[in-house]
Amino acid sequence: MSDERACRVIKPPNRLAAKVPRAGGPELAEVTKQAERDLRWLQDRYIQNFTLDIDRMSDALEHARSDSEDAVRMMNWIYCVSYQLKGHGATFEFPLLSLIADSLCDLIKDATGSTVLHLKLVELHIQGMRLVLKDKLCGAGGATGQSLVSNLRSAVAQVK
Amino acid sequence: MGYNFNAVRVLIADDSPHLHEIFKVLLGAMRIKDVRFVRHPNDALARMALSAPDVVITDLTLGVHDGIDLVRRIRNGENNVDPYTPIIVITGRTETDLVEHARDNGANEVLARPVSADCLYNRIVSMIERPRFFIQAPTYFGPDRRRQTKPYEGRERRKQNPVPISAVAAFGKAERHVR
Repeated sequence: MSDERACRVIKPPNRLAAKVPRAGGPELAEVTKQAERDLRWLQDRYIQNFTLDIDRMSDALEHARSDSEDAVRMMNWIYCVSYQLKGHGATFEFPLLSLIADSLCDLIKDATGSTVLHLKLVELHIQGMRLVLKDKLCGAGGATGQSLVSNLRSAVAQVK
Repeated sequence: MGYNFNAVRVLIADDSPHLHEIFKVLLGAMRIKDVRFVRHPNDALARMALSAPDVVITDLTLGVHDGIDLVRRIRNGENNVDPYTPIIVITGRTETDLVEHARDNGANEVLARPVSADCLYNRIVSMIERPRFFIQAPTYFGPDRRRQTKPYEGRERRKQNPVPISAVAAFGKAERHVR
C-alpha cells in the first residue's frame, strides 16, 4: 500500500548539458558586447513604439471618460500596456519610464469601480511618460525626473 | 572559447512582440538560433509536443493568461511534454510573493525584467553545470527549491540520520518520507 505522504527525489537527465559543448561558443564578454550593440540598434525603433503605446493609453483613457460602463475594462487594458512599458523602459535606458509605469500599475492594479475615480491621476502618469520620451530623459532623469516619480508615487499612496 | 549553444532549442511564451525582439537579440548573441515564440499557454504546449525545447522562457503574465499556469501544466506533463524541461519565468514585478508563487509551481529560475544578456547566460549555464534534483511530493513537483544548506538549531526530531539528497537522488527511484 502506498504512503500518500511519500516523496521522491529524482535526478532528471541533463539534456541541456548533453547538447552544449563547453567550448566552441562565445565567451560571456563577447555575448554581452554583441547584445548591447544590437539592443542599441533597436532602441530608436522602440522609442517610436513606446510613443505609440502611450497614444493608445491616452485613447483608452478618453474612452473610459466617455463610457463609464467600459471604464474598468479600459483600466485593465491600460494596466497591461503600462506593465509592458515598465519592463521595456529600463531595457532601453529609460528607467524613469519604467518607474512611472510601475506607479501607474500600482494605481490601477486589480481595477475596480473606485479606480475610475482617479482618472486624472492616470492622466498625469501618461503625461509623465510622454514627457520622458519627448525630452529623452534617459537614466534616472535628474532632479526633475526624481521629483516627478516621487510626486506621482505620493499621489498614488494617498488614494490606495 | 565559451559554451557552444548552437544546438539549443528555446521556446518563449510571451504576449509582447517587443519582448520577442529583445529575446531574439539576447539569445542571438549567445548563438542560439532555434528560438520559437508563442503567445498562449495552449500554443506553448502544442509546440512543445511537436518539438521539445531545451529551455522554456515564459512571462509571468501572458496577456489575460497566466504564465504560472503554463509552468504548472508543463510540470504535470500535459500533452506528453517533458515535465523536467527547464523553465525560466520572466517578470516585471519582483514582489516576494510573486517570485515564491513561480518557484512553488515548479519554475527553475525567476528573472526580473529588464533581462540582461549576462544574467540570462549565467542562468542557462547554471542549469547546465548545477542542475537541481526534482522533488515529487504530494503538494509539489519541480526542481528542489532549497538553494542553501543551513544548520537547524531546534530540537532534533528525526528518527533516522539524514541522508544527503545527492545520495538519495543517485538511485532515481529511492523514496523517503515526509513527516
